[in-house]
Amino acid sequence: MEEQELMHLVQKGDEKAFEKIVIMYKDRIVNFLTQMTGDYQNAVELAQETFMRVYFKAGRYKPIAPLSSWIYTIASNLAKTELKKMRKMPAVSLDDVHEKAGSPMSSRDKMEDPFIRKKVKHALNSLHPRYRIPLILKDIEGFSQEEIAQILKRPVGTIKARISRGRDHLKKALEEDTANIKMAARTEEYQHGNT
Amino acid sequence: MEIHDVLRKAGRVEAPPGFERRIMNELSARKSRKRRVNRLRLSFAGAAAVLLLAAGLFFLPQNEPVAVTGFDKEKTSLFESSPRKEEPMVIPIIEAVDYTGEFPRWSDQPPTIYILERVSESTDSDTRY
Repeated sequence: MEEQELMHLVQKGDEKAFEKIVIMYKDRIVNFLTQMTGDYQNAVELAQETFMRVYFKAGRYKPIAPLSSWIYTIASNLAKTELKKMRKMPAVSLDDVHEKAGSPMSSRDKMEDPFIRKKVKHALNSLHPRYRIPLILKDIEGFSQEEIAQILKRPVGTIKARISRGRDHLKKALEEDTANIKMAARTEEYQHGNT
Repeated sequence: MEIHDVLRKAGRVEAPPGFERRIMNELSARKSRKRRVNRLRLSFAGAAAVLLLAAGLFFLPQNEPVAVTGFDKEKTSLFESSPRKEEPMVIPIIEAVDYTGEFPRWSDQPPTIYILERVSESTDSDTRY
């Protein structure tokens, strides 16, 4: 059954159709929100709230846009609110997010180097949400610039600029991180040499 | 290495096992909560309407009953809101009048014929008294 048909059934209050939509999108939404907030448990809670809104606000969905765009719009709005709340609270280290929360990694990603993953996550979390959201939607979730413009309700030109600037910021953050690690390693070597 | 390649290395996570079951449980909980709230709202609205009606009947300002003096005093109702104007008292008098004795009976008199004749040539204006 197509997404639009499923959504039409959800609008009539069909819970089975809603469950199918949850199964189709749960991993993508949880992953997106984890990248956004840097906290797996928080992301799961937000994903739950996203799906609740999908059900209770189903009447507002118009089939002119793909269902994925609409669901990601809800998720990104919730993530933005959450990030604002998090900025007001003391920061928590995000380096050990996966390990601490015990989030299940997809089989494909179990092969990735955990060191690189940590580094990228750290750099990503240092980005302002204005750049982080379009960058995640483009490079991790694989949306086109037009789709991102639709999700974030911004002109395509703005999205292009934000993606490009976000990549620059991320590159700089990664380089700084690498330089810091090298410096730390050298300091450690020097200390070992002295002893 | 390009940045988008680096980002892909950030790794993907999956939803926890039993996530959809959790969502469906939450959905039914929220639905029943919504139903309960709607029922409460309805009952509150009903109670508020009854209270308003009661307030309208008993607490809205009313005019004091007017003390009426004079003839109608005893008949005035307590709930009568406007004072009644004192009207002039009219007592109808019905009197039976018998005129039969006032006039003589026509049958007792002889029949009379009156002939009206002009006795003067002069006009009325010339007659002097």
